[in-house]
Amino acid sequence: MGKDSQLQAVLGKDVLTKVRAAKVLLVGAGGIGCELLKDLVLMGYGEIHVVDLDTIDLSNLNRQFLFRHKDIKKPKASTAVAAVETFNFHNSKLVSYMANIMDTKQFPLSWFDQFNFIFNALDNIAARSYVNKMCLFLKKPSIESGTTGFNGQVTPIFPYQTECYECTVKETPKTYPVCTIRSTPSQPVHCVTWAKNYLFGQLFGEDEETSPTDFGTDNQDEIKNMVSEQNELKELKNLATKDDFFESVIDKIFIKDINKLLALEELWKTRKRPIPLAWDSSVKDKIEAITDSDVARGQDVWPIEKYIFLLMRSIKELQQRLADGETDLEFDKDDEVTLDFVVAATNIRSHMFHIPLKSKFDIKQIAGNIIPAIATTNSIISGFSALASLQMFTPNPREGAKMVYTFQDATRFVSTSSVVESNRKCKSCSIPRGVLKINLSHPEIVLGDVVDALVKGFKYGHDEIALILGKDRLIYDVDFDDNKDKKLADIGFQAGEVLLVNDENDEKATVELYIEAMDSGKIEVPNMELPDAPEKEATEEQEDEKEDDDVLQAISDDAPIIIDEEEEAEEASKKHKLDEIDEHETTTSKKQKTSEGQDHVLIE
Amino acid sequence: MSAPKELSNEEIALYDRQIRLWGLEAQRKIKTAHILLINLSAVGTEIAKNLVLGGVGSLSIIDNHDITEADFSGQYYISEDDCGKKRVESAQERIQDLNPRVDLNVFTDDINTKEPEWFSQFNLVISTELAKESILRINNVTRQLNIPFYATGLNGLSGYVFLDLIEHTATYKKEKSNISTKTGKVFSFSEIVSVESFTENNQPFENVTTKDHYKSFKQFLENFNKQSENIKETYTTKRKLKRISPILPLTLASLDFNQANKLTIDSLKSKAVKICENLSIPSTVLENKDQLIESFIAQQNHEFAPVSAIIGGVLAQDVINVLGNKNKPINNFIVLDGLSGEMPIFTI
Repeated sequence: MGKDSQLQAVLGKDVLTKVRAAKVLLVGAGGIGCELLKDLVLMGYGEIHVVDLDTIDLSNLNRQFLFRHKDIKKPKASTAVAAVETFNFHNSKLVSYMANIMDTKQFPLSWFDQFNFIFNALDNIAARSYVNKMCLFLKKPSIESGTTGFNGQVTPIFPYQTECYECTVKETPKTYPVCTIRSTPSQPVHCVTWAKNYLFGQLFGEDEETSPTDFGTDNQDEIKNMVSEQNELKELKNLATKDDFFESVIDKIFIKDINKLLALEELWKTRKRPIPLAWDSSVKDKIEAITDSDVARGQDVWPIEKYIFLLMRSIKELQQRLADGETDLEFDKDDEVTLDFVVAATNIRSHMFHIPLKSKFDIKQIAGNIIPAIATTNSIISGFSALASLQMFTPNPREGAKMVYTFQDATRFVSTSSVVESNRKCKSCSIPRGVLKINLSHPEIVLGDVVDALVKGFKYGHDEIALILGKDRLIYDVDFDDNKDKKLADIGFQAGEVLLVNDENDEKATVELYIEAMDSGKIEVPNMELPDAPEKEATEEQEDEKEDDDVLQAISDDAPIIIDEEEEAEEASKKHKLDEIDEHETTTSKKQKTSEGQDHVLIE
Repeated sequence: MSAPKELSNEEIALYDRQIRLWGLEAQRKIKTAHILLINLSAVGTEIAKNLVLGGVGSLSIIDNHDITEADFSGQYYISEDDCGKKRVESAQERIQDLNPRVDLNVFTDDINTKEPEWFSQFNLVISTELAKESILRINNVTRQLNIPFYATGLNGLSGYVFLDLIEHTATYKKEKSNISTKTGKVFSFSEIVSVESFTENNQPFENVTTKDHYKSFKQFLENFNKQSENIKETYTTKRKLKRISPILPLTLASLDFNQANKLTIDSLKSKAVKICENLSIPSTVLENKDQLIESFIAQQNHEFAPVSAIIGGVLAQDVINVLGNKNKPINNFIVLDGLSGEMPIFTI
């Protein structure tokens, strides 16, 4: 009996041969990635490439079982690959990259093309959308997976046939108006946002200013107050080198600013008035008696004096960092000192505004946007992802491909449904794609040549096209031909960029082209027939009907069925809710414009 | 169980992402558990990994098997150089390495030689890849000791978990709908004993406490060997009954076979058909499934990593829930049909 006798018995000789010959890409070596890599190696996959840009952290070790305490700070991808080598019984070829999958230099489109299909085990929307797009360019199948807490899901994607990653709407992070954060907080999360995104940045971070038009309030007194507050903070920042900086912060932030807010009577007509921090000798005496060991148990909520102590301690340490030459400090939930500052400032502000205090443990979760993650869910979801991959070796993979998502009731642990047809309104897979090859080192090619080549290649019958380079940079249209005689390099053409070609006469469909460099010739337009532009927007009612159809499709398992049970409907909506799942946290904070034109501070 | 143990700051940091899911109290209870795992099979390996990562206080693994080439499919903690040695001894160091805080013990004797008193040191028992007779004997002991018992096994692309928690109380949190959850019987085996309303971030929630009653493995075998209506309690419509995976009757039939008798397509099929009849499952479930039955038999005693990961994940998840008295427990049989990706639960 050979080592692969079990695999042969389960998969059969034919499928096993195909698995042994398959070359696959695994994007992500985190919670799902570790589990999936183990499964794929044990299944005898021929060649597995693993990409992850992250290094190992203590809080990964409860689930990312290929890593040990001694591996902390090492790259995830290579450590995971080294760990599975100990049980690489079927001699899979393993390749690891510590790199960003969105790096077009290291991973051009052609690099993705070497794989039979792709496993996505990512933790963020940006990278998921990017890999999804690469798969659309190459029409390459992928298996998308995600977990959060006890929940998870697996979705096989067949580009332009079934729902892609962007076919469903993703939940956007919750945002708060600037005035709520700065003047009238009413929940712990408002104070966390203030401490992390506003106060910390103003005192220790990069200079950043919010324009009064983005404050989200019409109250002129309030606006005036916010502007002067901003200016005074700049002055306060300049005191960061002084010994009594902590006292200055207390005096300015927690006493004077509150008194100024209190003077704006309009704000307190329907709200409870805040109380400035009591800062007298009795409080100071209490703080004097506090030691480091009193603020060690982060899971408890402490009396307010301990948070003032924590603020003092963290400010002194941050001052020391500035004195040591660091500039523009950034909040990081795993940087204990910056976390302490945010915890202390949050709770002191909450205390003044009559908002319940939160433990350091809880504030870390809000500020760091930490999503619970456990070994078992990752194990289960990876197992389903690995099982789904077997479908790729059948004569018609799309037929019979199933989505799986957790849904526990008295009769099942997961719910399965056939993959859904792609959404015709999807911004990603409703447009055709191709590769535009350009000899970028050719000295004479100008943008006009590209326009001519496209008009000829795609048979527009007119030259009224618009070109958008990258995310949103318009480089050419009928009324804007300034770039026509410019060299491509001067406009920003480079390999890996994406060029959107739009028919201004709305005759042919918009097409997206991936720019690839070639060594000879000039310009090579992909040989593809552009479909007609889609009909103009249907009426609202028709749109609704279309969506209903999608839901029906999403839940019908085999034969068309009638929805006769409430749970089925629940399930369908859950499917869409679950669609955006991040395996773990991201720490970056962003400011984002919303359609109302308000500047919303958001915790991502 | 003894009183919950305190957690150090280092443990809180290590278990951060799971404490945020089930809370400090549950993590303390998990730390107090002393679990017996029988056989370091593929699914046994997955269970050991998940429980050790989860932070159980103590895990004892008993396994008298020597390593053969067939083990190199899902048992990733054994070493290729250790062929012929005891599985559990080969894997011990790597399992311990996963989490040095866990008190890990290994035994290489035959589980069938262990007296009932030996089991009293554990507060939960998990058996993997055991035959009917051994499961019956061990479950009899766990019943006497009044401790939870799990039995699991793989069959190629399918697998099962059987649970006997005797009587189990657990609390889960749910969003409150317009109508409050009512106390009282939900099924003959499950009741809601209390409901506590609360608000969190201005959202109404409920803490629902349920009490479930379980059947012993002996009763379970009896129940599908006689005319019984109990599947119909949860499978309430004809459509649901019709859609039951053929893997259920096949798994039950193979579980009930005596190891001495060799399974054949005919013997397995006729037994599975009889079980369907007993449980009021439409016979169409097994119609035109001869090819499936054939591969089910061919895959007997074969381990496949993804199935092992799913079944081991589900079982360990339930053990952790049970230790922490969290979430709705599974009652009492779950199968994975790896071909369809379905994982139905049955109360038999």
